[in-house]
Amino acid sequence: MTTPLRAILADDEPLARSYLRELLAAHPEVTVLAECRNGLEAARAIAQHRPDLAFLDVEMPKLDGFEVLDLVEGPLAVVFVTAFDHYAVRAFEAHAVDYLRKPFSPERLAAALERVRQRIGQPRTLDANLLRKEAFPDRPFAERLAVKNGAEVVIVDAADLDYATSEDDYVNLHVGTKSWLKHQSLASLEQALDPRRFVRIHRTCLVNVDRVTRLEQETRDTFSVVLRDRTELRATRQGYLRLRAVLGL
Amino acid sequence: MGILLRFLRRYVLAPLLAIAAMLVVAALLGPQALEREWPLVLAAGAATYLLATAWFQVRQAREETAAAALRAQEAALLARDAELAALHARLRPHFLFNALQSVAALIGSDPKAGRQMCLDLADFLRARLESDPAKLVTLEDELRITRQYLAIERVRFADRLDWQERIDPKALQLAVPPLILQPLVENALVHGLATLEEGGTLLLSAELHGEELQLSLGNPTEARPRRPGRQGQGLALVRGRLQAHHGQAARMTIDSKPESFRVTLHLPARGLP
Repeated sequence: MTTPLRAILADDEPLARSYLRELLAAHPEVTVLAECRNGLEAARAIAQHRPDLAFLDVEMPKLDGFEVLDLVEGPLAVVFVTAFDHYAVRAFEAHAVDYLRKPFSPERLAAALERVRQRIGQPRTLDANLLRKEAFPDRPFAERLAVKNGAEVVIVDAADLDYATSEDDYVNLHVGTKSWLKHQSLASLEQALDPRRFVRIHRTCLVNVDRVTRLEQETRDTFSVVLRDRTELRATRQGYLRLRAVLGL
Repeated sequence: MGILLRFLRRYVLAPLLAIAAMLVVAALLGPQALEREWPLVLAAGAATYLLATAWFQVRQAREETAAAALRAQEAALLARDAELAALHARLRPHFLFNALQSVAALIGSDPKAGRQMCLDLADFLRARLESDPAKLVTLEDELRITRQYLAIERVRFADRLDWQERIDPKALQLAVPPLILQPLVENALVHGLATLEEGGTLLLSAELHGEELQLSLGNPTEARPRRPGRQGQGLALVRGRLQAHHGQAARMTIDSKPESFRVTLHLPARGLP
């Protein structure tokens, strides 16, 4: 008896969805719980159904496949589907991520399902941000961040982010008067964002350099960074020097 | 050849001229005067020799400059052809693989549509392969191949892709660079409609403004497109082709708004040469 698999599939093209569905019909142990037309729907469906497996198209409206993966907490096997992204394929190979290249054969799908079965239950160590950086070398930095807010997904434009602070296993993203908690380390967020626009001024704080209006020395080793909205952030000497360097002071 | 000619001029022709000059001067002086004035004869010979070699040198330099200019012109033409060919051949592999994916899907669900798509794909590829990058085509022909491309992408985008044309019939016989519209459509699909869940309408227009033909393609975009850098590739290619065909006489303008994007090509309104 083959392991039953509960799956969702996400692709913006109706034909690509129907093709995958048709091929999956030969695998009665796979139940398709949801068909999604964009990344946002996929993220919601994953949160709602908690499937074992997700087929994610790489390029989708709203959220791409990597951004969906970034939002997933808990175990999930992912098979990426892509037409011709040789960088993406190289990244998948490097990180042992399953993928299908369009158009794919029934045999190739069967092989991918077989690998998924072997991997199920194993912890996922994949860093979605690293993967997207390697897959899209021409746009290595995240232009937006997807945050889970209960069952909803909020998309934050990187340009709108004022600063981020770390809180245990989460980062607190401060956007105007709002703030969002995202399950991510500050180091990983720092990696994902453009270092010319976001600077780590403290172990617990990353700031958008566009928002900085004033720098002040408080003690020999502590500095204060004042933002446009008069928020004051604490900086270490090292962080202060990094910020000055990026600001060109 | 050049070396032989140079040798003959310097060591045969110039000395012969010098001897001739000496004979002429000697004949003019007459036998009596010759006894006294013989240095004059030698001077005439030497002067003629120097003048002749100098004159040959000037000629040779001129010939070399002309040859170099010709070579440069040939090289420029070759380079332009190579550039046009390189710019021409670029078809995003995504397009082909996505089309093949659609065919594979249709064979299962709608074999007739699958067959039609194979035929459309063949028509488009044939037209592309047969087009000569260095020759201008009529707008009418260019529209035909653009519509073939569109027919293929329409299967993939389904109801997310609407297409509208506003073409001035007087523009149909005007000359445009081949395959100049298809990259614009591709750009509008990849960076515009593909990022929008509901898709949208592409609007192609061809208008005559005096001596200028304006071809323009507009598409809706995300409110804040997240990859401005990427928009460039296909359009840079189109700009390069415009330049190669028309030089300064043509240009491309871009009108980028928060929720829309429009590229306009400004071409000289001329018929085929």
